[in-house]
Amino acid sequence: MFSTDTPSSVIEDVVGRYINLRSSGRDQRIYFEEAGTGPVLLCLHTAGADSRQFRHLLNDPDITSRFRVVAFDLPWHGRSLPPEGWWEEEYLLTTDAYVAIVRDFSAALGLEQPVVIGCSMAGSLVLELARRHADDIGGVIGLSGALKVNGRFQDWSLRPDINAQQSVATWTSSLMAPQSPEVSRREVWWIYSQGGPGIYRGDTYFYSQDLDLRGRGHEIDTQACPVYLLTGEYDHACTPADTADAIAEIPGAKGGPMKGIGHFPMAENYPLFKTHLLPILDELHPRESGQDLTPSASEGTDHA
Amino acid sequence: MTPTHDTPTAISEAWFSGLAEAVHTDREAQVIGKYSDFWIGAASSDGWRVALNFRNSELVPASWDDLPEEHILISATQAGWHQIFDPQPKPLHHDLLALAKNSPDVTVGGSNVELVRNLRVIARLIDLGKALHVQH
Repeated sequence: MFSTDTPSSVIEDVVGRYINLRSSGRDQRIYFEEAGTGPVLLCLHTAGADSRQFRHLLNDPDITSRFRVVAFDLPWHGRSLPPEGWWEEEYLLTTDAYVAIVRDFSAALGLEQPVVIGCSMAGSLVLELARRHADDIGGVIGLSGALKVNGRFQDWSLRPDINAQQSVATWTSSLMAPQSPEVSRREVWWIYSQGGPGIYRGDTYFYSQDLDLRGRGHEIDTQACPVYLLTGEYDHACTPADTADAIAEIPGAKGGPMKGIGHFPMAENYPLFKTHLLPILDELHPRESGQDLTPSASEGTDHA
Repeated sequence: MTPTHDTPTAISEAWFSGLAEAVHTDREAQVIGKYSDFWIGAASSDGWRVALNFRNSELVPASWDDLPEEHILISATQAGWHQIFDPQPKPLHHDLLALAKNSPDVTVGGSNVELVRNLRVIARLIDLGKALHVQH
């Protein structure tokens, strides 16, 4: 077999595998990818999407030389199939089931004290993880997350006269910064176009309906589990103001708005997002070599 | 995209003829709009209004009286129309859905189902309008 093009192939260091586990009383076959060695950085994708959103992080040697990066597809998402019987039920993700699958996946892989980074619905979920299980987590980084995010749970994506494959993808694309690289914004759109019917809607049931941590921010112990919250200034679903409210209510939480970026920072503009992420990782796990190339975690944001 | 030299700089009924021409020459609009058929009523508080039919990858300005019952209605002040087609928008004013939430100068009404159903093409139309704005 001969290539018809100039040879320039590269095999990435990212490895994908499946793990079979039981969560919330059901058998699940979960797909995950990982790369790197070191303390675990566990990555949680957005509603209606999958772990491909973290491919830049998984391929960044500045990260993988210091961290074991693990990203998995929730059941019903990406390469993780839905559990048996899915065809007879309405998919609605609950807080309890979401917390359980993250913990069950971590336990099945033997991940200890992971730093959990989640975006969108997962950016809010990490707050609940920190509230319930602070002692088991090395820290949380919530992107586009808040104590309560309104308005994302919509029924129209299940209407037979709407092509959700296109409409959900465009609906969510609206949340990105227009100056983010076009190829990245199109990739976010593409991943969304591949979600199963009703899955984006079911995920946003958790994000906009089931989870409401308003008035409970003080229950999060940031001494036991450091909390960082970052939200792009173009995000009109979970706005920077929503995230500021969360930071104000959680004693010791850090973060703030990110300039020039939208709702999907790690996917829509990874180079820019990295400038916000590295200082946080340096605080959570200081570099051993003494090399300090990044500013403090609060620099570049409006809130310390 | 090759708008005519006669495309007016201010957004008005005539400006949408330039947008129609841009749609006609846009490869993406030609691909994604092949099976679309929907109507937009575009109105300004300055007094102008135009009906737009997007069908078979073409945008055709029409008489307001031609608007069918099922249509998307975008109403804005003149400042609002410039926000919609602003090529360098400020955060939370960068997209039609964002403007509908956050700008007092822009109202998106009519059929929500038609809006969502045709959102992919509508987003492309607005991108083309922004590019048209850049050229003037």
